[in-house]
Amino acid sequence: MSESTLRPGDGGGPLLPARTGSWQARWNEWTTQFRILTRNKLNVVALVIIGLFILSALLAPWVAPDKDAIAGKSNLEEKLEAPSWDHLFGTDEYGRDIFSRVLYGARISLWASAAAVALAIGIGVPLGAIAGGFGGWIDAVIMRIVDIFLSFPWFLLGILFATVFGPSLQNAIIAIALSWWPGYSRIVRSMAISIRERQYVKAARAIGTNPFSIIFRHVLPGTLGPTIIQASLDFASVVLALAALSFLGLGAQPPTPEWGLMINTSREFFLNSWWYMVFPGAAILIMVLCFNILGDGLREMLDPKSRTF
Amino acid sequence: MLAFVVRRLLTGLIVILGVVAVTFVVARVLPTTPERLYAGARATPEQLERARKELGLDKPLYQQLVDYVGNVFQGDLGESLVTKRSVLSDIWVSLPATLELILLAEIIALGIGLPMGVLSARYQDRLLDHTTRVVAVGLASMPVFWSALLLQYIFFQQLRLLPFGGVMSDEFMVLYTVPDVTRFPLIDAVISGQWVVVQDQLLHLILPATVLSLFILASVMRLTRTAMIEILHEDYITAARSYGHSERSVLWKYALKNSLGPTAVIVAVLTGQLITSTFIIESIFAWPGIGSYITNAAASVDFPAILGVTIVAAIVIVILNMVADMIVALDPRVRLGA
Repeated sequence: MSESTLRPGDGGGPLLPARTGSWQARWNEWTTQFRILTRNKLNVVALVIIGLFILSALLAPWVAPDKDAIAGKSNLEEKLEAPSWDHLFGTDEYGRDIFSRVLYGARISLWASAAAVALAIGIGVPLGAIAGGFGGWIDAVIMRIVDIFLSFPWFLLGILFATVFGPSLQNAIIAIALSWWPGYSRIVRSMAISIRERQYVKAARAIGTNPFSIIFRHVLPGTLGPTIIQASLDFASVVLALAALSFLGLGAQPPTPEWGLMINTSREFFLNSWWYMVFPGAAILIMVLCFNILGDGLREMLDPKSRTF
Repeated sequence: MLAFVVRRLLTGLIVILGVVAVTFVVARVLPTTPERLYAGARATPEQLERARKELGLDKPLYQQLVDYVGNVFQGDLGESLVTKRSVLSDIWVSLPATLELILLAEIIALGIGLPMGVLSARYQDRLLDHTTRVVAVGLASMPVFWSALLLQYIFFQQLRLLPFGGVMSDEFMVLYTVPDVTRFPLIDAVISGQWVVVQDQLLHLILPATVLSLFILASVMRLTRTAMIEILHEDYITAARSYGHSERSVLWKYALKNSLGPTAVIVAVLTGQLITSTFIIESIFAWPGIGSYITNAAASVDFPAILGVTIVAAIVIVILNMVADMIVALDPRVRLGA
């Protein structure tokens, strides 16, 4: 890809889509950019740690030393034991192995955050593309809706949902998705507006192509890069938000080994049993940190001027 | 400029109407029995019937919406199931404590974040810069509730330096009476002239205000750094240097002044986001503000209180975003488009 096909701010995508299947061209471009991303050692570390989290999520039932740690069982003889070789992260008030519960927690955090981000993208991207692609009053209406949802603090939406529909991880995911989708609409809309003025889109419009088909075949592929960056950064904040809702009892319910919930149940004991609170929190911190580093790395790769940290 | 302000106020009003409409849908349209939410879980059939009547659930939906919006705009947010007072007056009572916490946190964040951002830009890509950047990402990735508990463990349990939570120590509550003048706890204590109380309250403020400031400290640092790096490459800075102004005055007088615009915008936007962290932190430190009010309301399923705080908070955020836009508009270089 020659330098002249790049324009600042178009996410590094080519000015013209490749003639045969723009998605294939994009795939090749992405593999190249992945190699650029991994030149920075920090990004590699973040990717490896995220990989470890995914592994522990997938393999938790096989690698967790205490298989019953996720159940509501109790083994009161071993309750609140400090970290040792038997229990790397100590045990909780029911004698459950905290290390095993943290491993299982990766499963819940990754799954729930992925669901929330996917839902937010599913709502936000089409609405943004429609707003930017059509313009006019459709744009105005959609963007006011975006403003409305941007005004609700996710935390209060979470409380409201938990009160009306009952506290559960699923309702927390919906509340979070409803708070996070406007970001995608804004990004996709602004990209769609610039793409709409490109020659190839004007040409497609001139030959009378269906506007929806223009949006989905020509506009959306161009918004993929920024959407992925945003998703990676949002993943970090969504992990935090879901943990916070669970911490307040508005998300996952006991005995689920959710990290935020574990910190919540530790509040009664943490002054004398620091390990109960420290390890689940450290897991959240490390996961969020890695997604933040990765998101920043992606953004820097696609738009070097945006470097913020 | 005036046209812009008027247009911005109008869209703000539309958004506020939309916010109220959304809460209406969540509170009245989606639940199968809304009256149960308003009357509480242990309501008798008579109480449910009365709630039905008060809510006007027998009326057509559009009429309900009109009544609902009308009530909200008249400040009628209903009555709390727990305190039995109007939700608005409850919010009014707990607001000063929350504001005190937010203001102090912002002072801390700006006091540390601005200079660190400036220095980080000045020594770009040197050790200091790398360190502040790593610290900034680390802080931004830390769950607030976890850092709150960690600091409680370290400073209360281990070092015995700071109190666990609350506004002031229990023995002070018994010994001293602080008059309710402004209802800002610290200001009232200062007014009463009881310096031991002021000192005690400051000790209680340190932990929650610090935890809260950590959250925006990272953003202030990052944004000041980015703005400063851009500004330091501008011609007028080179000109100032060529006139022989000292590096210190170039940095802190000429460059910093122009980076304050972006910082002011981000403070307005962040205050909106801060609301969430404040609520969580208040519930951990038993700080008697709106956060404790709403987390208690969530625990006791006090629906009118939850709904009321949500509406008020969303309106506050709309207003803060409006303020942020107007600060941006103050910059003569910004073209005010549609």
